[in-house]
Amino acid sequence: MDTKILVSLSHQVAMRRQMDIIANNIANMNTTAYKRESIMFNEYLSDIGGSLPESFKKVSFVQEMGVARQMTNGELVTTGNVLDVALEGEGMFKVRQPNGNIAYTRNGHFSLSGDNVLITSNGAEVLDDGDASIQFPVNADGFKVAEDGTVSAKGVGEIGKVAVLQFQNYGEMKKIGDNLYSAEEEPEPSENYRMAQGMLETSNVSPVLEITNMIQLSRAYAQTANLINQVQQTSKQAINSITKFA
Amino acid sequence: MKALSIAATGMLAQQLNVEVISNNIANMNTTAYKRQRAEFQDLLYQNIERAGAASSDAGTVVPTGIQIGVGVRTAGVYRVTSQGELVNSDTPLDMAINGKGYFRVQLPTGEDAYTRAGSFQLSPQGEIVNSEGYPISPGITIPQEAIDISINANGEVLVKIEGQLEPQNVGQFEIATFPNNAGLQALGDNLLMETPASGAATIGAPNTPGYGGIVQGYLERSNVNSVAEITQLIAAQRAYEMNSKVISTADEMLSVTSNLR
Repeated sequence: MDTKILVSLSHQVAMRRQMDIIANNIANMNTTAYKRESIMFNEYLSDIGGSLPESFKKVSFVQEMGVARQMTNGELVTTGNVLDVALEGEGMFKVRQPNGNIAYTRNGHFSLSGDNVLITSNGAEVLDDGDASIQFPVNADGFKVAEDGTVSAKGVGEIGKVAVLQFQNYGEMKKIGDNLYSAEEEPEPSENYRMAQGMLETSNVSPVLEITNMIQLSRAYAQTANLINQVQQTSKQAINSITKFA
Repeated sequence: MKALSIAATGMLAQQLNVEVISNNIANMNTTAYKRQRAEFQDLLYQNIERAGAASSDAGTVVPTGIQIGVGVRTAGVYRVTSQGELVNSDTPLDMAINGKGYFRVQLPTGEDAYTRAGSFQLSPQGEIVNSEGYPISPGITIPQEAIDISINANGEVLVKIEGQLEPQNVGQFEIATFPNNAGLQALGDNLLMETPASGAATIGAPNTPGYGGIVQGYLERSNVNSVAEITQLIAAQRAYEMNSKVISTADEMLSVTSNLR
């Protein structure tokens, strides 16, 4: 096969992947605390051999390198729910999923389970600094979440403290869906954070950025397709003219 | 191409969002209606593994593999149980709860339902019933000869009877609280039902610690904020549009491919 077509093809495959990522960003525009992602490409050099000089021997293909996550904070939106907690600054909440696995999230939409335990919307227990779930007293009222995550209720006093942990490398964390992340790394307690009660963090997807990226992408895709067309035209012409001479 | 189906999940989610918002707006004047909010989460991620991705040099910028999400899903639609404003209605059997708790009414099936809409009336037998005619639980009957009904903050029902000096106590309102108010199941007609998610009801007298007080002659309005709802509606509509743009772009890219000779 023609190298020119293969190079274009590597570009197109990469662009399709990029399109999937843009679509996922736009679909999650209203997902609480969603972090936008972008794909990173790199050049893959391949030696085509032959008698060409060294500098012409290399052909560069497009290769996907990884998905980068933009960890900037989203905006805060008021919900008016006392157990909605937005995290400002660095860090993540630690939760224990119903199957026992530990996961991390920035989605602070909490509620109480039927047994008065603080849970996320998936039913995962929110953990405190000592990895224990936070048990609320029966029929407590007037919840207050302090900036450092200390939860208290009227007449009861302090109930517990929601843990916020920070990681060395957020890129290494895996998204497991449902706004949750899993991590291999052992996190440390975060210090640069603040909690805002009655608010939630929005996604950090910027619609303008995504749409312009998408327009750019679809044009680039069409151009590459055009290029493939031209390459084919050229070879067709070549075949026609060569057969004429023969 | 996954972009098509990803954008479809986005459109479905925004459609639901618009439905929730329009229900809030429609119930703006419903007594004690609690506004709802749709909560979204990202769907699962596909790990696209590629040989060599993990064995990159130490200290490279991108140590991750390639994970591609497959869209968005609705995690739940939850009620925001903040207090609504109280409006004067000048009707003796209109009651509002100022604080935490629900009135308990008995459904015709014998089960208990819970409501914050306190527009009560009297049945032909003199029982206090809600606007559907379901009696409150425990039942309270107002004697026919009563000329005035007063209900204090503690939920005691005192009636004044012609010719008697002292008002007579004919019953006591009880209110119920739940660990997780958002877990109650809405039945319509302003009624809610207990579920495993809400936890078991704790019954108590109004105006005691942990329970709200009863305000006679007032009704609780919905807690819908029309400005907030309209701005959310606009945002949801734009998000819907953007997802449809993703579909048309993906479609264009596919048509480019199919036009290759």
